[in-house]
Amino acid sequence: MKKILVLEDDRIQIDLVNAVLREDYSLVFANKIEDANSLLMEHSFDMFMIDLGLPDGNGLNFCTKIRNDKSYQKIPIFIISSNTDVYTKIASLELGADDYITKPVHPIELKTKIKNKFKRLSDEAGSSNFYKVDKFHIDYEKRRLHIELKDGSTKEIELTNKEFDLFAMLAKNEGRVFSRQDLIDKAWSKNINITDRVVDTHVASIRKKISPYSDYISSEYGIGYKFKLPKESKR
Amino acid sequence: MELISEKQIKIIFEIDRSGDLFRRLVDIFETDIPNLILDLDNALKGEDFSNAKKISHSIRSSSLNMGATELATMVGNFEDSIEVSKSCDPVLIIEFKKCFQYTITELRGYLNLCET
Repeated sequence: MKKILVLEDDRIQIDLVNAVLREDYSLVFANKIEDANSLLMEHSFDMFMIDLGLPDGNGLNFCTKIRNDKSYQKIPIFIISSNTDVYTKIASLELGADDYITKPVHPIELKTKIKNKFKRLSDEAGSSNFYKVDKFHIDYEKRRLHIELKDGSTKEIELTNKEFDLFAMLAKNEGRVFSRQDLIDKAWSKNINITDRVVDTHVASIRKKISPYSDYISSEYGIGYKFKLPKESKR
Repeated sequence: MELISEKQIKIIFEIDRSGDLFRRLVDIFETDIPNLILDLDNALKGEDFSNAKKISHSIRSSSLNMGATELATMVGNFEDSIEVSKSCDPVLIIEFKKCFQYTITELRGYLNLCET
């Protein structure tokens, strides 16, 4: 299930958004920018829904922060505000918001816009079944991983299904930190009880299999893991 | 100007036909708005116009979501002018309170309608 961070302080809007979207999306609410910043450390999100007038500042500051963060550059941002000023709308879009929706929001309009946005992203991702990042060649269709060896040849790495899912997710989002819970949410069914330890075991196994490139998967102390290119390989 | 936007009320009922959502939202509105008007009054008395603008923005946002058109417009006009004028006629707060009372009575009326 796609996870959306809703940064909103209006209790009525929170209740409405929850009623409209909770069946289709996993919603995480923050009513202050400070809380949203903390949540960014604990979760990864597939979309941000941001109000502008917040108790501790303007939501556009958070929007700018996200767009300047490499790991969130491609994540959609919807601004939802009662501010109808056209210059505020333009500023929001120029700062990287994907859409600006004025309150009161029509629930069907909101649902449709979100659905369309995710569909377009998925179509774009699906148009390329093959992904190369540094020494790694990932074939999504065949679910195969190859690594480039120092002599220029390639070698197929045999990964289990779950290992492939975890590795592909990390590699595709280079630099983005995933908490263990994020990885569980994305790689396992929601109804299965998986502990953090299981994630650690899978990651340890992936690291062993992709040797000598084990360091590409880095542990983020107290949080989880990320795929990190060595400095000399930065694109 | 219409006090309440029936269109917005219908939208809320489209989300949840049982009326539970609407009832919950009316309760929140009834609790939050008087507090916000009080905060607004205090901010204006302390000449904290930046905070007054923030508070009026919150009142407008909730009002729009509840279909409280007249209150949203009144507070919206005030929000637009406050940073320029840096002053406020005390009568305005009384007007907001009055408009809120009319609005909540009307919203409660919709609740009674859906209960009968």
